[in-house]
Amino acid sequence: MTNPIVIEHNVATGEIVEREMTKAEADARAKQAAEALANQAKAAADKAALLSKLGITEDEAKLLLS
Amino acid sequence: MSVNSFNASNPPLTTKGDLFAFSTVPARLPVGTNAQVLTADSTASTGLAWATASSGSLTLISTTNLTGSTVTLSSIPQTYKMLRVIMKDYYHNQGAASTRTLQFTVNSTTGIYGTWSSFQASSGGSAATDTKANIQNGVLGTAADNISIIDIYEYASTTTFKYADAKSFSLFDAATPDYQISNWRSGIRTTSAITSLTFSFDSFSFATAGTVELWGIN
Repeated sequence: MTNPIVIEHNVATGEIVEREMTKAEADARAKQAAEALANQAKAAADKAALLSKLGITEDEAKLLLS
Repeated sequence: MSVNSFNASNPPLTTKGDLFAFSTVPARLPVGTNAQVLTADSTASTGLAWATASSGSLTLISTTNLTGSTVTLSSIPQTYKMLRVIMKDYYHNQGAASTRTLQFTVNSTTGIYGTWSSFQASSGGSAATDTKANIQNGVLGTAADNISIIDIYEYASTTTFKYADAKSFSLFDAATPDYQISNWRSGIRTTSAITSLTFSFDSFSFATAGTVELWGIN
């Protein structure tokens, strides 16, 4: 499996380099992506729990905030 | 000729556009070049000079296609007062079921941002230790005419922190469809001049679509 691709555009020279991430870059990227997905899942769960506690739907919550 | 009694019938004017000025004696001030304006100049003998009018300018530095996992603009010239980034038609490559956050870093540095939207505070934002600066959240993996404009102030300064203001309009729900307008503001806790900008989603890659334009503003 290839690593993700990065684009590097030197705006002074116009040179554009397209390369695979190094292993270290790919590992850091994967870690960050996993954290982002986990944070998103936690935020969704927290939101659902709060709506359940309040006994209202998401649309009703939006209506309250509009 | 005395200072105050020049020969009015023979003023020192010879050429179209000449102005009648004065140093210690009456003097001819030749017209400037097209579009120049007359300005006070204490170093000139008459105290006047023609100069190019100063005005704001917007210069397109580069245009780059958005593809791959990250897109970096490097060797950014340090000759402008501020930068404007315009991102158009971007979306990620994981389909409509996933919403992701579009972000950027400066100088490939993480953990120096405090990034807030107009309606929520980000975790850790108050300490300016966010990993990246947000541009737009809730971006779908669906082709759309999304647009974000990011202004970065004091980017060339080596003595002050930086500030970025990102304004976006993007598709939020493809089925309805719903759109969202948001404004993410980021403090960038570095006194180093910004020489590179890196754009990415918080996970996944850019769909091979859209562009990022870098503009210099004076």
